[in-house]
Amino acid sequence: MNTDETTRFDPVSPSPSSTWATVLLWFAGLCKAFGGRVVLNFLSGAIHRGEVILLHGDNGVGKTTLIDILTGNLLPDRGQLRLLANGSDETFSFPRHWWNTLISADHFTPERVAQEGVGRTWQEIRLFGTQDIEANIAVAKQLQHGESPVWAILRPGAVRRQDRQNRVDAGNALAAIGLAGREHSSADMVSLGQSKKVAIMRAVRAGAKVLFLDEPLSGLDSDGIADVISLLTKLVREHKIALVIVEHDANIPRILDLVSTVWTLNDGSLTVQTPEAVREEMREVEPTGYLRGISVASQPQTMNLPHNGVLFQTQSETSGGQVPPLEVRDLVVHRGRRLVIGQRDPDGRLHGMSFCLHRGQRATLLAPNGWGKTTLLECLAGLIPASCGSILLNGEEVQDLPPWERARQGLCLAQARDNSFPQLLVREAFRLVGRKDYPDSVRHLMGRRISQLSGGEAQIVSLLCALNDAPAVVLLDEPHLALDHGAQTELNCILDALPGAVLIAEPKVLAIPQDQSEQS
Amino acid sequence: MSGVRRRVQSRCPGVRAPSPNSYRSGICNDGFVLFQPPHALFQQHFSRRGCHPPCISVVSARPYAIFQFLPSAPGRDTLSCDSLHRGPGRPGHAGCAPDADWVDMQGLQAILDGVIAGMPVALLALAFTIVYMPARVFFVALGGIYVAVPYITKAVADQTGWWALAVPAGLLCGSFIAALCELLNHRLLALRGASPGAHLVSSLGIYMVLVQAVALIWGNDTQVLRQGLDHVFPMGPLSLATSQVISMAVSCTTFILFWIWLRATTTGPKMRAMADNPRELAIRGFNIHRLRLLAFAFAGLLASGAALLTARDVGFDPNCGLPALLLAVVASIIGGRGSFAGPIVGGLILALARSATAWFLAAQWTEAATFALLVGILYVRPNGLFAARGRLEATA
Amino acid sequence: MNYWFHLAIYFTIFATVAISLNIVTGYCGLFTLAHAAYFAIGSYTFAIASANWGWSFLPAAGLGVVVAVILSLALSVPSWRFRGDNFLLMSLAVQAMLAGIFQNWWSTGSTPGSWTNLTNGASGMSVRASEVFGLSLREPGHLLLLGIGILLVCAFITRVLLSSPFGRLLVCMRDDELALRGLGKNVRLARVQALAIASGIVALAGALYAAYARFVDPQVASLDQSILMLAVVLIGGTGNFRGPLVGAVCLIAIEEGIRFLPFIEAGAGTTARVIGGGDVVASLRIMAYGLLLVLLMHFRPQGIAGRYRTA
Repeated sequence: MNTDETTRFDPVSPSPSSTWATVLLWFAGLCKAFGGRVVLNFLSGAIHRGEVILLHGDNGVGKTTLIDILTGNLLPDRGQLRLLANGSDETFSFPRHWWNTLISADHFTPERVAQEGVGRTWQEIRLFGTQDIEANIAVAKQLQHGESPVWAILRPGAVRRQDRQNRVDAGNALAAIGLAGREHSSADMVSLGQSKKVAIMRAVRAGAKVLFLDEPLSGLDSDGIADVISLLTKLVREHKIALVIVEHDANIPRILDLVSTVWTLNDGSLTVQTPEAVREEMREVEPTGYLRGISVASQPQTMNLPHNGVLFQTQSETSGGQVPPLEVRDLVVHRGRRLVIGQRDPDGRLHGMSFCLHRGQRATLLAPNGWGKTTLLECLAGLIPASCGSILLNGEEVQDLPPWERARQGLCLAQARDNSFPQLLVREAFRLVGRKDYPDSVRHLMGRRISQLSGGEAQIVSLLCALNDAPAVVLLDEPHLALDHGAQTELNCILDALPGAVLIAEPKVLAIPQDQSEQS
Repeated sequence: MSGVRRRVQSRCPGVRAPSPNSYRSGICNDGFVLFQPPHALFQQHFSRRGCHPPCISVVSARPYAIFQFLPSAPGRDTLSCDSLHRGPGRPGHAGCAPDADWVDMQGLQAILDGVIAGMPVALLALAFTIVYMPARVFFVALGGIYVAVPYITKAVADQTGWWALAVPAGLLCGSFIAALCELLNHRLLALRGASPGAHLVSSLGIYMVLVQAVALIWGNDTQVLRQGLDHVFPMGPLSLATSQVISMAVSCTTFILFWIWLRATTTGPKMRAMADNPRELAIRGFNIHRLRLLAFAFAGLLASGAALLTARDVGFDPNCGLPALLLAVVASIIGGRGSFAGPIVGGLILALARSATAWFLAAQWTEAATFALLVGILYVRPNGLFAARGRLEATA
Repeated sequence: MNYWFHLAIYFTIFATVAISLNIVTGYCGLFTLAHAAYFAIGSYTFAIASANWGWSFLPAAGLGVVVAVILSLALSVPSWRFRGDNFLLMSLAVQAMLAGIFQNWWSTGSTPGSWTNLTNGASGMSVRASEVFGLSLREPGHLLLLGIGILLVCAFITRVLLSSPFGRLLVCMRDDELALRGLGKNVRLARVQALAIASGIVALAGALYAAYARFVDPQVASLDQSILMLAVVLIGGTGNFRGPLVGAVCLIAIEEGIRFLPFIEAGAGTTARVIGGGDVVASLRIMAYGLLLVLLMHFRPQGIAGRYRTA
């Protein structure tokens, strides 16, 4: 535990029976279902002044859905939402009645909710790319005369004066986050960390009293993370803004110091905990799912990868001499400008990732969320090009082949998300991939449309489609996602029966070491 | 327009002068049938030729022709009354039945004509959807193919004299041009990650080039694929022209074959899978580039078929492509762009609606009706009549 | 001398049209096929006002602007709900309906411009020679002065607007509408205002055209005209101030340049077999636009002189 008290945030913790005077946003009975899948199940909660809430849960559990609802971007099926952040008291009940749509002022829209003092930042940041960062901040100010064309034409002098002052204020805001002098840099040219800070300041400048932050620390290095956290601390201390932060497990330890309450979203329901309780939970590192079988059975080979990744492999039964089904040499992958797989050493040279999978081997890539597991698997399958390095499938270089060629040569990828054909019926999907036999558990699903299946059922169907022939190499991205225990056992049986090489990517829950907080 | 009507009245004193902008026909006491299509070209046609005693120029052997999307004037032969086969069951006489009977039978005839006129529209709508559904490309160049194919067919027929060679040549050319569009234009844009707007604008550019090339080579006049008037088959109170029979036969056969092909092969699920999730389809081992090319080529084939059917019926000119394509787009939106049955049914519904509007109101309202239907569908069921309801979300 | 006058007048008309369409396409990021219809509203209103009530240019054109601004709601209200393809179809519907009104609001026997025969249908309406500030517009010189005046005023207004916070709002809306709504901005109102301004300006250009050509007919509102306007703006460039002007210059250059191509003057002889008797210049011109559009989409989607890639 960090004993430096001055850096530890002391929250103004409201008592359980806090009055309405401190509540900024209140919601009750929120329900949301997509197709057959219930994502939010009668959620209730409140955000009080001065709180810093951490919203966490597994991937795909519905954190972004909840944020979308609370910021007006999504209509829930049922429930109530009450906004008191801006001094006024607005209540929205769902489902909306037809007479609500008649009164335009009563629409449940993002701008309406934003005008009530709720702001957000986005996972993909969403700055206005063709403008410079000063304009990005300046546009956020409310009540600008110049935004009415009548004023702009008839009273250009007054508009110019106000806009000049606005831009000076924007410049000051930029200076406060360390971007003085870069006001006229185009928004798509600033670095990732800087653009995240600009996005946060933009939402603050629009008058947000409650700020939802969707993965503010993802993709940043430790300096960037420290930067953003100090900005958030300042927002809480000086501007008294309440924060709701969604973050990956990898970055949670760093913000736990700042956080006053933790909301855990699991299986459609919300539980409230204190940061200390979450800290305790995250102390243990336990291999999960498939890996448990491996590490118990035999002594796995371990390869430590940068940024807290680990590659476990079972001992290969066959000795060398046979061509390995999959061999990766010095693989470097970029996403846009960001280096995801690979490392740059101090003299600037790029080192890629290398490993080898033999026939019948099982391997698990354990890495925290945001490490780049999906990027690596997509590159191996051909959906993303490799920046350099080579991928050899049965001894042949495939890094220049399109995905379908690699699939025909025996490389199979089962994606974690977005891995189905929602409009097809289950039997049509099986017919498409040529699967003739299927386990009894899916027999009753054959005539249903995939979009109508629950998350677990859809996952099983798409895994069955993927594992159709006996591919030489099988890559699975978080296959246990959304599966219950029975389905997981079934999946493990299927995987055990595969003759080829299997690589599974799974999320790793980071331990909080006893002495220091994480340094990567 | 008023000039033509005066001439008509002076030569055929008993005519019940039709309203100037309707498709209704007037019946002369001496048995001639007068057609009053509203388009400006038709008006010019009449005023240029005037009225030849004792016959009036007949522009079609059918009393109804839903020509709103084809502004050209087909076969311009004049006829003597003897060879006119129109009317309630009496060949040689253009119908001297009392007005009431004539009006009733015209209603049924209008419905039949509407349904049959909708078949090429449905073909073209299917062609458009076959590209839009998997590839999300607004294939405007189909309009250019629609224009070019009849000209190519006619040129081949004029050179070789064999329709059996010319028609397949035309169809293959249309398919080939569509495949070229994909290979040289849309695939390159897709690999570059261009937005749908870029595909649309480049497709529009290709359309413009194709149409103007046709106009440069063959001129702007309307042409016809058949010589003389169509033979007409009386069927009880109704009658069908040869072109209509061919239209119906070819279209229905095409739809049935297409349906069989969808069921028997995995093409249908493949196309829908590509529309849903092309990345997943790619990693399942399907060559999505080849699928796209197949979709484009097939769309070119269908569009060529629709073009030839209509060309045989009412003729063709370089400007007939875009209106036909727009009708097809509206039809595919009404029916739903997410399925293959949608555009077919949408085409028929649209043609029925248009002929009903022309019958009950006046022909000038058919465009308004078409687009009113489009606007209504976009607001109420934006995914079309045959699509699953989209998810309710507050934002775009 | 007259030839250059006509060229210059044509340029001012088309430059004004391009500037107005740039507001919709370059700054709001919407493809519209209804722009020619609003152009024709300006022309027809001017013709009717000047024929019926004898108004001089400015009041008649002003009425055209007002009518176009009110009718722009037919386009801006659907834009709240539709984007991309669907908005394009909506604009097509608006164009078809307005073109239908121009084509069909007529009856025989009434004078053009009266209530029963507002537009004289396909025959078109001839326009009385008008005047502005006492100068008769029969003279090409006066017409050119008026055209230059209108172009300068519209360009000035557009420039002021687009460099004001309103312009910043529009480009941010185009870049990421959802993020802008998350900041509490009323994007629906902004879009209504932008479309109204664009429609008003193009109606003014339409009135100028009516005064110049002294004849309006429904062809002015046709889909082909809308496509041509869109092609000009896309070729010239969108999203900045000089793109539309470059587009208008390109338009004139292509039109007049093709006229002077050597093989056009050859007449009979080598080209006789190729040319089918149609208007070769018009065909070649449109072909040139088509080719340019395809090439630009591949190599320079922001247009020749533009800044923003609409496509």
